[in-house]
Amino acid sequence: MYSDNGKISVRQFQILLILDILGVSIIVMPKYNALGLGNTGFVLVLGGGFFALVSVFLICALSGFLNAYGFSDGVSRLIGRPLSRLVSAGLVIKPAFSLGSDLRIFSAAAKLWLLPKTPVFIISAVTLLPCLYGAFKGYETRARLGEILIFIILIPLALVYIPCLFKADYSSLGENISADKNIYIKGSLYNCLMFSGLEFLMLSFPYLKKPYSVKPAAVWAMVFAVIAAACVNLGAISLLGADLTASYDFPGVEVMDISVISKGKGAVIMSFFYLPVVMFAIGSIFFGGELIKDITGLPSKGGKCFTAFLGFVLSLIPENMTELMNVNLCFNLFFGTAYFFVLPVILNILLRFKRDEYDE
Amino acid sequence: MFTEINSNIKIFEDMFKDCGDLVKRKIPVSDTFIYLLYFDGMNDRDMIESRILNPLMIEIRKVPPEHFENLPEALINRGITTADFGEEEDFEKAAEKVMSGETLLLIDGFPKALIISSKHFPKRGIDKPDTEGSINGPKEAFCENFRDNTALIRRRIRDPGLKIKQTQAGRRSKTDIGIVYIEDIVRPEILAETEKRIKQIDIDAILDSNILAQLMSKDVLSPFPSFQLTERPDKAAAEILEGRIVIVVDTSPFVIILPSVLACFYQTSEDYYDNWQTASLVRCVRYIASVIALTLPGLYICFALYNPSMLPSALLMKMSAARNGVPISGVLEIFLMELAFEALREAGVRMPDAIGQTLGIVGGIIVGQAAVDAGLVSPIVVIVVSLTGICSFAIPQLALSSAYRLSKYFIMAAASLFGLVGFWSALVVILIHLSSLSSFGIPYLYPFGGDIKGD
Repeated sequence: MYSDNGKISVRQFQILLILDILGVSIIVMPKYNALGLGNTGFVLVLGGGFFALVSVFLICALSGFLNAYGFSDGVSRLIGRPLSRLVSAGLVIKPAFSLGSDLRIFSAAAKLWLLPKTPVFIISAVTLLPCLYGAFKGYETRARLGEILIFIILIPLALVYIPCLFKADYSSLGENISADKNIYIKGSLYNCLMFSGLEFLMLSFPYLKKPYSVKPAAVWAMVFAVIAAACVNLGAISLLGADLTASYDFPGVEVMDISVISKGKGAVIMSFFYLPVVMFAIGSIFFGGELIKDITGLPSKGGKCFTAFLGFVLSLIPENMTELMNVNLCFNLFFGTAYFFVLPVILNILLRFKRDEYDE
Repeated sequence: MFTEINSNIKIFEDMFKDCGDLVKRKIPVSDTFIYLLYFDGMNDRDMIESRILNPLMIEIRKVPPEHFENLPEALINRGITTADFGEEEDFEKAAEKVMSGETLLLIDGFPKALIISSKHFPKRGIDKPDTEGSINGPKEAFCENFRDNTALIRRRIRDPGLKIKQTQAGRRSKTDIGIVYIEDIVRPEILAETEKRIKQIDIDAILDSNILAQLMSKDVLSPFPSFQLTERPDKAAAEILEGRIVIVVDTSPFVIILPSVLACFYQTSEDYYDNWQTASLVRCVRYIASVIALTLPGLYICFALYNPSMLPSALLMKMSAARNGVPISGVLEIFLMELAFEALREAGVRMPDAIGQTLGIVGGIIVGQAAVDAGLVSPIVVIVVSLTGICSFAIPQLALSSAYRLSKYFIMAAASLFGLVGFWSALVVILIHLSSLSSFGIPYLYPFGGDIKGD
């Protein structure tokens, strides 16, 4: 049989990585880049891309090992079972939080433009239910879904933002180019940590048919996603101006007002905005369920329901978008740094020491 | 079986007690007799008379008596003038053969039954395809006769590699099933899986290929078909040449094609005869039509009820003016119209052709127009429902069209409750479901989704 709904190809892995990274964060990214570096803010995305590539290299060095042993088992072989459980629990919380954050951002945007009379929690619940169904269907189903959705997501994105790039005024883009180095480093790091799909990279290795060819694929996907995110930022900031961009909650969506398809704004929001949320949410719930199964021995369906519920509850906690983004910043700084850089470095070092034992 | 003929006769007579269509005859030969058994109407009576009865009752009397020392051998060598016969020792198997239309011959002193092939069922001739009409290409369709159907395929592929593996399914019906494929291009694992699934079937009767297809399907809860059915031999032959497997079921004018992914359901046999540009254009039209059939009523609900500002002003004004005075809500209006369309479609299918057309005209045009004139429904809704219906007819396979119809109601219900969020949620559920399906290991959305080539 060709497929047993378990393993995915490198091409599917690449598509999933692009979709996970091109999540809802790029809708809000221009606001924070404009706040940080004014009209020159889009450069921070490129800096973030550089950090993300470093993380990709570190994580991909573990691909063969994690493919052979799975995440939980592999990590426990290197750092011991108790610590491995702690790491896995963190990796349940991190995607659940990102899920809650994305869900809240989406629900708030949908309430603003599409369902003004419907409470946010109902919009969140309606959005989450298909994701839970998708997570139950398995990882290969997610990969197949990604192959279809990438066109539905990228075509509206291109239709909206490419015209923006032609309309924009680029004369003031370099005004803050000589800003303090620390702003560049901190801003770039924060941009990197907003690429929340990176956390799935380690978890997805066990589902790959051929893990050894994953590095070039991941780098290619990362570069593509970063260029797309940079275009969104460039388009938003150069078209709206830094001040206006910083004043909007969702500048990435506001750009559509000025774009050529202003009439179909809601539909574009839904096709572009809803589908990445779904893809990311399916991934979060799926991996959450699998990790909970590894940690507790419970059936993965129960774990998936728990992760979805956790994400749903977390999406309701922040009172407004500002509070959400502040919590997001703190959370990403701690968990993001830990899982994108610190953990991969430690695992790589330990694996190097134990190379003889685990011949890749 | 016993050597003593009367014991064998008793067992068969008990087995076929109260079967009014059973024909049995004792024929004296030399100083003993033979016993003939067959079901009336399932055999070629001329063949039985000229090839069996005539030699046994007339010709064999001309043979000198010394040749009857070994009666069975003498009868086989001199009494039966047909090449297609066999022997059977088991009562059950012999009875099965009789019920399949063979003639059974019992000989005294011979512990076996002679089974003489004399099948001749009442049958329909080769007709034009009813459900898969085409302008170009052959006009032949499969019929209910198993052997005619296999012959229609073999006539098109005169390759010794074309194999027809015969088996039976159904505890009581003992339906003949033929697995047709080309040996050197079929995937062995798919062939093995097909045979395994047929063997696993445990049911009283298989009366049609649709029943077999449903029993072989793994995703019984899915409305989306995982097998194609065709009544065109040219299409079946083309699919076999592409490495697929065709299953012929006795008494069914449709054969099953497997594996079948979503893209296969958009292909028609005419695509093979048109030039590629036209065929590609028509296929694109079918894809667009299916998207419209699936989503248009849901989109109408979203745009008309939740987000009218997304529509161009001129269209919005026209829609508002058209809905002015309609006494029921937009959602109820479109659901009722869809229901009326379903009733019309169902009534049209059950009616004879001439009345069906009249019903379509009366229902579609006269009642529709009257409803609009009376202000019960808005013309926009009539257009939406009609366009959806027309587009659903553009989908070549009825099973897929039905699945889209069912999914359309799901999308409409979700859109009614949550507008575009509900619409997209329902669409995503359908996409997830389609992504999770596979036909004999081939992803259902292949080649759009599902990488079977690997790395």
